[in-house]
Amino acid sequence: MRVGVNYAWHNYGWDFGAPPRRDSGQGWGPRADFATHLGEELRELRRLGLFAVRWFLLGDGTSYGVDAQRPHLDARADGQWRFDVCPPLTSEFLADFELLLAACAAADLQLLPSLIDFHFCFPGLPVPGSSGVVKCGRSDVIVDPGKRRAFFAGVLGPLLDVAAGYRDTLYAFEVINEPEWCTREPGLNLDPLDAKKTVPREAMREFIRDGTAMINAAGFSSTVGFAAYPTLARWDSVDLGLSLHQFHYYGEPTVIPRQSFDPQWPLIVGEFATAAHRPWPELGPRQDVLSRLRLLSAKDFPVAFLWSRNRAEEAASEPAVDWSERTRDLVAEFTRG
Amino acid sequence: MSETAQRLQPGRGARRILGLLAAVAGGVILLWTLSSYMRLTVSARPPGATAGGATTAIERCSRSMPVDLAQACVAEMEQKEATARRRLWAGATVGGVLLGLALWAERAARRQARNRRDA
Repeated sequence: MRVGVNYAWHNYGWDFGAPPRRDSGQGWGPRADFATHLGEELRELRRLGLFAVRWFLLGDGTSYGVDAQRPHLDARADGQWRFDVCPPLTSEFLADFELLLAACAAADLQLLPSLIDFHFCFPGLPVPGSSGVVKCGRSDVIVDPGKRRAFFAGVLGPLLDVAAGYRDTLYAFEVINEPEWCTREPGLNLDPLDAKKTVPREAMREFIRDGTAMINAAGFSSTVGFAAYPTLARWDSVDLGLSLHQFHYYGEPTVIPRQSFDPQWPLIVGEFATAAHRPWPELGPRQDVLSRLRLLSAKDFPVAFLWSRNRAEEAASEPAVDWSERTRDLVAEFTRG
Repeated sequence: MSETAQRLQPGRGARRILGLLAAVAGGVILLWTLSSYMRLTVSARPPGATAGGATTAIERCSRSMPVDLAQACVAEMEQKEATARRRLWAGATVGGVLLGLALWAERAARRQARNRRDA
């Protein structure tokens, strides 16, 4: 089994292109700050025997559509956010993406970019002190077919064009991370009460299908980072046209199902916790990353991505990240066989 | 009720209508409060059990933001939530008082009627 790692961002939502600005005009930080130590970091990951990094591109959309183009509350629809214009990516954004691809190629690592995160569709979150910036609030991109087309033409298309120059470096292109968290499931449930569930399931499936078709047509592998294993069947991931089926494992279901997808379009694990986090019932007291990797390998998964190398998340209330030296040693022990 | 008794209670019909209106208004306000409470509770919880899904609203606000902006964002979010909760308390109080008054008035009217009958 090959092992990759979720980088997964340096500045969530504004790694690429011009950084967001304060009302004073000052930027939040340097542009493409990730590049400062990237070469060294990627070489270290390669030394551990990892083959790829997964990276969030637009995240919650913080820097995509700012100032006059930022999302705004719809006065006619209580609590709903509108995103009127889907701007094309700037040349700065594309240049920074190319910089990342080039760094991965130089380190002999592959890249799994994730186009948007589920937070992209959550209700808008204005940033006090940066009135031109609204985090989230961009569900129109998924729900409105016209905006969806504009988004794919102005965002995904140019990214795929850049990636075409690094065909061997791009492992696959992910349309969205964990779409379940912003999607209203049909039937009787609490979803209509949840302000975070802004996208009906059929609209989300359309969005995924359109994005997937575009990625496949460009000659790349397509994927979606489903949050849960049962979604693969419930949303019919085969019908979505994905080349790589993907789910995230955080202790549920109790028993990890064996990889049984066609090897040409296999099922991979896009995230699992490097910290003990929620115990894996099959492993008993041995919850270290080596035991987890061995179990996934025994279940015939061809690829698994660790969550994550972002040590800032070790301070979370319920940390899923442990990127300590011991974890890194255990990862290296696995990859070296 | 006899014609004489009706003449002795000229405002009774109007009071009953007022009581009924208060009961309906109180009930509607309480229902609105309950549904708002459920929306607020359901919307405030982290979306799911993955690393990303378990992100709290505060973590969402502060992720990769300059510290002062993150603090302002969290403060504003907390203020908005506090305002929403105050509105819920106000709704529950007004709805409860209206419903309580209507019930009390109805019971008082019935007691009065019984007393008159007994007398």
